[in-house]
Amino acid sequence: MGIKINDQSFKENLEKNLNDDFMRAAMVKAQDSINKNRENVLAQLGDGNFREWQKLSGEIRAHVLENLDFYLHQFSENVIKNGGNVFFAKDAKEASQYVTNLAIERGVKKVVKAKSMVTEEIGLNHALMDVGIDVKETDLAEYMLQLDDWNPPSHMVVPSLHLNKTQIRDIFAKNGYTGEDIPEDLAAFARAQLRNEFVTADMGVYGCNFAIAESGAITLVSNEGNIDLCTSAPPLQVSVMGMERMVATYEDADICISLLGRSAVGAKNTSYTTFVNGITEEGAADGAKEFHVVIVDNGRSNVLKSQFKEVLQCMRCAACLNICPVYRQVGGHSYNAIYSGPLGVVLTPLLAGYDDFKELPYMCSLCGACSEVCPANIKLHSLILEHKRVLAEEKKVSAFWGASMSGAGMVLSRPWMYKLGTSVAPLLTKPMMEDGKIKKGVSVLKGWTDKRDLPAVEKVRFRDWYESRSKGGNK
Amino acid sequence: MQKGQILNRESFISNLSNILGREMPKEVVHPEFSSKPQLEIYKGYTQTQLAEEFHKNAQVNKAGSGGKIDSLIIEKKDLAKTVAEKLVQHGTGPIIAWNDERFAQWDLSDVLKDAYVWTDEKGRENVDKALNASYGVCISDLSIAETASYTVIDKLGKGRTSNFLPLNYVCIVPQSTIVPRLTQGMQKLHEMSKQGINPAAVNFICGSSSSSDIELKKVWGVHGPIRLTYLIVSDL
Repeated sequence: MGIKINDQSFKENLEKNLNDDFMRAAMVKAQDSINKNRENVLAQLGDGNFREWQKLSGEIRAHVLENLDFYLHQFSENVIKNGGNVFFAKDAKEASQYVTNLAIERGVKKVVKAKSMVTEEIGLNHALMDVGIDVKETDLAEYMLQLDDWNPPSHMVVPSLHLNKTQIRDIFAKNGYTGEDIPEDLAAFARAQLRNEFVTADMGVYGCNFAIAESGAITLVSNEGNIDLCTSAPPLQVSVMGMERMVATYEDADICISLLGRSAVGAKNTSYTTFVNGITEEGAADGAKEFHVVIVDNGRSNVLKSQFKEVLQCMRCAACLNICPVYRQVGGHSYNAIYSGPLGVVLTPLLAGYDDFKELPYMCSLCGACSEVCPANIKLHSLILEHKRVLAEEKKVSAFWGASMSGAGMVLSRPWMYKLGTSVAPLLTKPMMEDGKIKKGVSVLKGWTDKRDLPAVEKVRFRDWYESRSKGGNK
Repeated sequence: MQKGQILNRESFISNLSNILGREMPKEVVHPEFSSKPQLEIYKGYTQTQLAEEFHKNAQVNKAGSGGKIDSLIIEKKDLAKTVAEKLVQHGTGPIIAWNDERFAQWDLSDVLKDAYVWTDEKGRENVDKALNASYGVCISDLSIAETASYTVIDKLGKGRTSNFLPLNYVCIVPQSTIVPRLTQGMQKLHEMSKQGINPAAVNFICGSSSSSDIELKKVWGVHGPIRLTYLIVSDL
């Protein structure tokens, strides 16, 4: 799939999603429910001082990034000591080719996969299928999306949030399900279908929440247990990780894990927290006999040297999506990329370029709620503002926008022009008025008045009214 | 690729060092961060208090799971009887257990006489038995009070899939294994790693398998065990 999820224009994409009533209601329900739980469990963490934990976690992640070369080196040495192999991939193609070649060389027929954003990013599923390998996504949501002809994920933690149970029933019905649209029955069907796949797969592929430099361990969190089966059963296993997933020590991992489940789904802990250290003991009846870690750059090193470096602290918890007022209205697919919400707004243009994603930074009201809840202490709204600055001042992506801002700058820096402009505004907006409100805006105003009315411009300017009031006039 | 190889590391790492504006350091001193709030949780609690907290948090999980998770605090003298009850609570069926001499020491041989015992030498047969098991029985290696989690540290005789394939799970939690939170669990893994011991897998488990992927409705038993019972043994 890669980072971009479809070829529609940004506006077409947005309009389509704004007309999807179920999806929009699902986003509201998800935000309300997850946020309530998140606030509850964070209030119960220690003495409830989330800011202290947030600061600490930010320090841990920032320290790793400042010494990323050292910790990746240390981590790879320890993976080898644990009997594994490490491949450093500079881009998506190198990473997916490595895993695909490995599968071909080992005669792999079937792969069981656990949910992983970075494997989406490098297009691994399709690379494996292109060489005739049977790929089974095992996370319930990803399994549904796979059966729905690889429908793209709309949320980082709940990828199938945009599908309702009837749609899911219909997807399953094409694959042998004969029951009703009851979530318990649908999940039981998936369980029955996938159970045997885990123990007959030749290869298990999974991501990595945190990689621990001091031991070479891969840490994974989940609720379903599919990750544990992917890490337990197949004889050949591959973990694919973005290079920034590192933490220095188990002690540091503790803080990050403590915040991850709470921030992601509002739970004290996910049902399963797993540490994988490579191959099993000699003679073990199950578990990995061969283990590989693929460490992916794919544009991250460019981010590391940029003013956006802080975004690499991200834990992929989706707390920023769950609080964002824009995401609430438009849903994950409107970002046209696998990374959505405020994180997607910051990260996607950095990994995939501004050309296809120059609209993303404007999907933000700069309210700052994302920064408030971020467990890695990333000032996401400041990074979005920086994107806007780069687009306006360095990329100059919109001649109209540039001219508008220059015009505004000229008027606002000249008092006589400002006075003239504010004096004639009531006159200029008169043709747009209806029932005492501005209803038929033109140019930039049209985007607003298409959806809602704008109050009329007062005939008396605020400055004039205030001056008159100070002199005892109209109050 | 040969086993135990690292590919492309030199160019990858040197690119990062260039970006960071220096040579890769030979050593990095791990900094003292601004605070350690994790050490304050359940600080100074006795083992009995920790067991009570474990049980309390398991009961919270029980309420949240509609009874799919349960816990009891018992004494060792009642262990065999309680395990026997739990192994038929959801109907009778095949049982799988670790190859662990503590079961005999704790008078569980009779209760587990019909259980299949994980025997690595038998290879694939173990996995097939786990796939068809109605019940699994294990002993927590390390138990976390804050989240009511048990831990399985991988070693021969336990199996990996045996922990995730049975429909129902009974976990014996010796009170002496309970620590306040993940912090102490991480301290243990750190100490083991310093001694060169890095088990192939360490699984912290705090509940039945669950998912909210269908309209955010929580369902239980998606892939792993559907029901989980903790038996906290106060005198072990």
